[in-house]
Amino acid sequence: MKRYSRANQQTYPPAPVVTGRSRGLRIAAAVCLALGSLPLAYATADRKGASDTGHAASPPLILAQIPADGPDDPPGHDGALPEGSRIVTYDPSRPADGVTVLTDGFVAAGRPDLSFDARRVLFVGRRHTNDPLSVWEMDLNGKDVRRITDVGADCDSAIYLTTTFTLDAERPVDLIAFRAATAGGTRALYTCHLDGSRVTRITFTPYDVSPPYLLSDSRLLFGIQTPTESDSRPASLSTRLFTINTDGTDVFPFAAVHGDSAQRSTPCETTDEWIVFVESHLSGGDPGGSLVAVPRTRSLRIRRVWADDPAGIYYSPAAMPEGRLLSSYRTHDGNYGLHLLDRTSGKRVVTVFDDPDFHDIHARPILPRREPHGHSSVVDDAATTGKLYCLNTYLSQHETVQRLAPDGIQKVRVIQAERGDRASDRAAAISERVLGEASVAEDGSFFLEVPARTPLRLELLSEGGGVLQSMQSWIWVMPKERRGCIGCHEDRELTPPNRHVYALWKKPQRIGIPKKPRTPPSQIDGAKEHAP
Amino acid sequence: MTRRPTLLLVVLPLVAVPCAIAEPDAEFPVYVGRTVCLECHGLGESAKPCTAETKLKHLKSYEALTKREARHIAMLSGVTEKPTESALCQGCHSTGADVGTRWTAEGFRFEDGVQCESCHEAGSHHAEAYRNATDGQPVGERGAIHGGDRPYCDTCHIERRSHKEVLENLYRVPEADWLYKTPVNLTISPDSKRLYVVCERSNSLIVIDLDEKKIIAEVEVGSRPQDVALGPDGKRAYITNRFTADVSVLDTATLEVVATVPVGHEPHGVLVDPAGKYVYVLNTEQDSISVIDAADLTEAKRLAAGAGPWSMALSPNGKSIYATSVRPNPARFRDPPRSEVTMIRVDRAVVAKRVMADDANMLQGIAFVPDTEIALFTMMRTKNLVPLTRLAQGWTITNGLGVVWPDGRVDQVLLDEPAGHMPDLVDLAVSPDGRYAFVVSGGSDQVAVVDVSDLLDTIRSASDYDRQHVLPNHLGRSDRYVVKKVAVSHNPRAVVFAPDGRTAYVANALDDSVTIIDMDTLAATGKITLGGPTELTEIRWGERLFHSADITFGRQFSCRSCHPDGHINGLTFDIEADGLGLHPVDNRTLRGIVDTAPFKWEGTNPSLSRQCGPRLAVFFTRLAPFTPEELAALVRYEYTIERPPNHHRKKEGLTLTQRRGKALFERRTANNGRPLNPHERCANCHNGAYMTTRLQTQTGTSIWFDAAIDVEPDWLFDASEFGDLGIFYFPDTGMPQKVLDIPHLNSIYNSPPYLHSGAAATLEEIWTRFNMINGHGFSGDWTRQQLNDLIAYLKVL
Repeated sequence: MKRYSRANQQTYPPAPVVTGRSRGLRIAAAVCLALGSLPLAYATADRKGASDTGHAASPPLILAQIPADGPDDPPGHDGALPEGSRIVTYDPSRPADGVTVLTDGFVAAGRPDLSFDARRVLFVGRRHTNDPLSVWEMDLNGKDVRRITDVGADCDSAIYLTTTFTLDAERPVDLIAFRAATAGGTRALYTCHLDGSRVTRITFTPYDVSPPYLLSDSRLLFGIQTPTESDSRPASLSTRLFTINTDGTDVFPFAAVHGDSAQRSTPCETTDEWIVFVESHLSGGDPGGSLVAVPRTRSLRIRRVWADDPAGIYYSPAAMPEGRLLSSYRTHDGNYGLHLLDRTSGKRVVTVFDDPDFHDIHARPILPRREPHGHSSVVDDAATTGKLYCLNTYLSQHETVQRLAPDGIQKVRVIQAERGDRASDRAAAISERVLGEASVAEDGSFFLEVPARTPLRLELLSEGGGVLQSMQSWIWVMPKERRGCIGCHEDRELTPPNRHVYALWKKPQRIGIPKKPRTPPSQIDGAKEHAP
Repeated sequence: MTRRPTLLLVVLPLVAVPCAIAEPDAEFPVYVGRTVCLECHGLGESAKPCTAETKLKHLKSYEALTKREARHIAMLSGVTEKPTESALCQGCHSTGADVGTRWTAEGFRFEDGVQCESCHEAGSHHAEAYRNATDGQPVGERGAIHGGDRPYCDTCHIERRSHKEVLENLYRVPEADWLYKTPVNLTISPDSKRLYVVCERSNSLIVIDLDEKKIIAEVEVGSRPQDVALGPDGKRAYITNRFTADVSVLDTATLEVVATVPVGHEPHGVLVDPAGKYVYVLNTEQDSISVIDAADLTEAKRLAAGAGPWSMALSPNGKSIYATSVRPNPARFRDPPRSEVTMIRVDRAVVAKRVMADDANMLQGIAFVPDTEIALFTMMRTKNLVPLTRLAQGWTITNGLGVVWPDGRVDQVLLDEPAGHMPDLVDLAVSPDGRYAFVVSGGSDQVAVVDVSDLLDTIRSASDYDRQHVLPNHLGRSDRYVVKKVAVSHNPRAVVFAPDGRTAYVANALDDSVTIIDMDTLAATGKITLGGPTELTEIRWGERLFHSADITFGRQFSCRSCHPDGHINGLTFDIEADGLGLHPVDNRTLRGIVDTAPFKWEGTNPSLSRQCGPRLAVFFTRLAPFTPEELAALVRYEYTIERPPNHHRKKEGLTLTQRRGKALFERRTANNGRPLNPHERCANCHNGAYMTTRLQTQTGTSIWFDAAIDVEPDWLFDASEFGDLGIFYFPDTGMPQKVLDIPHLNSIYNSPPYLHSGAAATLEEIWTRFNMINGHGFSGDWTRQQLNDLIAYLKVL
């Protein structure tokens, strides 16, 4: 059975055993043998810093090396990529061979991501000191290098996506996602075709988002800087994990939040569908922390600390075959090296690689992986609005809403974030504008048409205009998306009640959209509507 | 106009003694055949296009049904009878098939192909009028004959995909497609020695020796067998046959069918009471339960069931039988579905109680927990009233178990998880020790192992509010009682435990195999193949795709979830593409639809490839669309989805009531004699073999929720002012009527609700509630009798 872009459905096959004259050849040959082809070129080899503590059973790795100028320097997680950063390959079964540098010619390169067939590498880098960071692609030998993005701003991380299909496309297209700075200075997620065309922004929060990760169910997992709900003023920000579809629709919380001001980053999914990510409570910019895991299917409810070490911190875990986990780790006064962790205890069982001159991070096993199903999208770039409907605003976990009388909620207020100023990391820095208010039906439902690609938050109002409940986070709708919500901060594991709600008997209330002449009904052409 | 009397003398004996015509039938003409026509009308007398050459071709048209190609066309059309016996095939290849032999004169032969009366209507009255007319006197209306114009030709001469595939593209259905087994149910002998496996596709019961894990016999039973039950002593097995509407009685010693008992339409579940006195059979398409006297094998009584009764379970104390219902009971338009569990008292063989599962549909498998009066059943909670705009959060369909407590209270829980569903729960069995329930997920090829004690404790410990509102809708509870998910093979349909409780067996319908699950390890330990072809044909591949939820984000549902057995689930949906809240659309059957293009209620999809291609992905499954190869296979399978025989249609043809209904359907004048305009006539739009012109038109069935206008919910439900929902027309609002595809009417008897919106709960309501202004044909002068006649006729289509 074949679907688009699912030619290779293998899941972490064992690393092939090969011999060769160089590291580059061996790694490329290992992959190419698995794929039935031969490497085309050699890469340069650099044996400096190779470790003798590699694990023979581990597959070849690709990783980023960030110069370790001092023990307190963070390894460039926040978009910064110091000069001298590079991407290398390393075969733990041949530790004496050291690493092979793939990014000669770049003053800085990092964040490697492997294509699903493990033939190509996506990464970010700059060739000259003053260049912005761009997204590049190369083969596993460091050859066939080509720049994908040229957006005039730093693109500091990128990943391969599964295919996306729209009704105006002849067939599903391969996309990548990357993070880049917006005109307002915040960092958002974008997608584009593999040739760099059709750059499309897909996140619209006024705060920074963290680099994306593609889950096995084809959703993108990423973090949003979100105000905490503490009483302190101004509110602090933590990074909370969310998912969206690859077209930017259906932003949805992913994991339960434990503790204020925690930063969460670099998730990965294990072969048994646990999502492991770094949770950091450190100040000073180092992204490292403990490793926390949640099951993909119960991410909002189940969580366990995978690895926590008072003597050190973890960073950028990667799933390995047979359920093992590879993670960067460092002591508080050391630099990051690569370690294999026990799948049950989370303890470091072996040091795979540790270059004393570099932080060794963002490692990936060089193996084909299963490509998730593609996504089909309703988003229509020609549209400027989307729909937002809620089935029952009274469904909420907030006691203030639960205690309301049946007619307690009269209106919903729609608030737009006018700009996100990256200069500030405090919630109070976001300026807001009230787009409008709409009535809430007697059964608690509402149905709105709102501007697309706009950070929005909602407030529930009483008859007298008092705010009953106020969203702390920001949501958005994509053009022509019809975004449905069950309630207002309801239990996220609840399914919608099967009721035809009152608000949907009517056309949506337009909020924040300039009025246009109403189209006479006789001109509606049903045949032109997209219809299944 | 006069004719030569000498010729009429010849005609007279032929038309005066029509075959088996009862006295009242003289109201309607019968088919007399071309021989009679030719007595007056010479070969050269007809106008174009009915040339002599054309006539000759038409006369040979029946012969085409006997050719090998016809078998392939029939399979690609979902026709289950032989082409020569199919009213659908005969409709274009013969004359008079629409009414049957009862309405033909002696000597008339269907084998004579398409004759004069195919276009000109039955001619007995015409011939008789001219026989009785005297020179110079008019023959009157009774002598008139209609038809013969071009539109009549078009009812058959229209592109048919099924024919094109075979006759032009030279497609042949692979032989393997006739040879698959497709096991759909099974039971085990009391001594654990034998496994009886019902094989739907091969019309057989396969008997397996469980010691050797080998097939010891394959017994031919009726057409499309569904279920098997053993008598208490194990000496007899009863097998329900869906298409032949009967029960095969098997002697388990000789492994021979010793009797066949007719029951209701499309029987499915079967169960024998503990005393062996009665055999209960669920007639799925008749919403009834046949109670068969096991001694004389006659139907002792028939009980009313829920909508689409499906499976039964006997309570451990032997006093009760519970039956599930696969479709929701009729409900008010846009109300949530409610499905029935029918409780039967065994001692009196009567229905004791009907309990409802709110918000649930597709109640299928059912089993009691040993030593209790607690029953578990599988169910689906379809969110058909919520716009289908996303799939996350169980937005569209959730799947779970219902629990019927001894007092009749029904609880529901889900087996789904937030990002992992258990689609199409079709059967379950409880282990003899009562510890585990094995629940079969046909859409994910898994069996969920449910800890029964934990399940019941979860419910018992919940508050009333949680039991009513939270547990049935919560995706986060299943880990409290689902202890494991066991992978089996393609499209499992049924599970049974060995009496010793050490092993369970799962029938894998689309793998022609039975998986063996070891209870100590709760793992699949082996597989028994049933001897079907090892070849995977394109149609079979398509069938697997149709039944697999892998095509959907979160594996939430499969095509089959809404089209069980290729049919309907009885629900209307709010699909994203045509606006939220408005434009609800009725789910349409896929049975026998190959030649009914275009598709979709608006008729905007010219082919099934378009219907099931990109738009399905964008608006329903939300994953990448099928590859071209997958889509071709899926569509090829959909061509073959079978249309069960219509048991409303008797072998001899229409009854007098049905014939009157047909006359009303085709009438050209109102009851007061006023000539009807074409759009006032049913047959103007609904004609031909599929009863559709396949055109798009204003059908006159639009009501307010088809229009994008603002309405106030309060007054929508103001019954004192507006009555019920059906009176809400908007002819005076200036809103345009919705343009719709004229739907085919084949097997319309079994696809409620009706109209594009699903607003009409019954066929009658199309006219009694939704045609008050005669927008959908002129029915304003119908008498109650006429309406009844019409309904009787529609049911034979």
